[in-house]
Amino acid sequence: ILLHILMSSGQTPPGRPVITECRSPEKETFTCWWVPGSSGGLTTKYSLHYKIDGSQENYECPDYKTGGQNSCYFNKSYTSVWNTYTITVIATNNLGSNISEPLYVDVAYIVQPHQPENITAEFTTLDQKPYLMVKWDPPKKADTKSGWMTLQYELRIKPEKGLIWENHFAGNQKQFNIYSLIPGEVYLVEVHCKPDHGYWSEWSHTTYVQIPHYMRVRDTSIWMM
Amino acid sequence: CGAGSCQPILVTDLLDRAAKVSHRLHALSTAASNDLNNHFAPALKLVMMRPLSLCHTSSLNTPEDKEQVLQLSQEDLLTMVALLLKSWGTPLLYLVKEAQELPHPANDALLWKMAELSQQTENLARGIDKILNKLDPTGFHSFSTDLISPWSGGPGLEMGSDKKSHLLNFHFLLSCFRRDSNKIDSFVKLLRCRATKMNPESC
Repeated sequence: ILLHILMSSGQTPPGRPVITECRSPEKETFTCWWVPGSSGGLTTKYSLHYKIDGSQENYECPDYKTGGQNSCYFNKSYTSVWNTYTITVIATNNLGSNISEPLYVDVAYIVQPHQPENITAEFTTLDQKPYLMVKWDPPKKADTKSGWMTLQYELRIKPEKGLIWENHFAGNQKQFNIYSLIPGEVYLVEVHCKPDHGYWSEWSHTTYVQIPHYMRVRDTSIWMM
Repeated sequence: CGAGSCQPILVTDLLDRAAKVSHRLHALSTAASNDLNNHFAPALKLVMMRPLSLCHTSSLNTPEDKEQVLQLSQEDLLTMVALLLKSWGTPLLYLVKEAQELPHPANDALLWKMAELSQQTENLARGIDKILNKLDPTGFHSFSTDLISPWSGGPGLEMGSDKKSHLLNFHFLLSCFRRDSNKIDSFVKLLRCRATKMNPESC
């Protein structure tokens, strides 16, 4: 009867939460996020639970704070790679609880690095050929030095007033030369990166570069004739 | 080679080649898993969640995080890769055979992928042996074939021999291989990076 009274006042058990994604920036830690369902008009608590393949033990999220609202952060000591985590979120209020669909996660497959850093674009000439030399560093968190992560890079460039980006795949290199740019234009350059098996990072901050009114090689040769 | 007419192949070059093959192995096994998954009903997907801790290579106890991996010497890592690859010889041949009779709309695509996976795995195993021999000519790190994880063959005891069991077993084995190929690729690329320490730009 009590339940009936509460329900008729518009209050219900919580709706089903949905785990949206889990991501690891460096294959050493990871974070999962969820969206709550309806609260049922009552204070609703959320808890994340996980199990690791090969063990029957059920654990609760070690850290609800670091990843922000509705998230769970697994630091190094809670993260292992090449193991399947079965993750669920439980919503509970005074009228009952609701459990999300489980999400199966292997950290090896959810790696999305941070953006590349320190992007520089320098205009130079070599053998009378003018070009733009773009350089960058891998994201600080990604341990590429030991080889634990291998990153591939792509850059994009467009004139300030242009609408279309021109993309260039740089492979594992941390440098790329771009030829045939319009003299006098200001260009925008951005870089992003991706592990060999994983997701592209966001695009980096934009670097602006002014191309001088250089004399093109062809002009020079005509002049010499 | 004639007397001094050609240079010995450097370990860094061999590792570079190995990394290309291991990359291909993982990309191909991922593509095959996608082929297979695209045609499964969601209900069947739940049944398929057989824990990967039951994979036959689980007994190899490979490292599970960065610290564990970085503690291993070059030779130990190579040995680990060699063991993983050799443990997949027979099961991959079985997958090639199974793909020919698999009741699945993508079985043509699966067949050539399995055939290439099997061939490239053997290829890579030979390459890794060569690298091990170069680094460790005394064979100090050579391992006994007993260490190679035995595979019991075919659908497990708890599974039937009907078409669905074959499909589920195929899926399970492929998931195990995909996970192991990710390990292999990670280890090989780490080794490649270590070997080119003189030139940190390469990793």
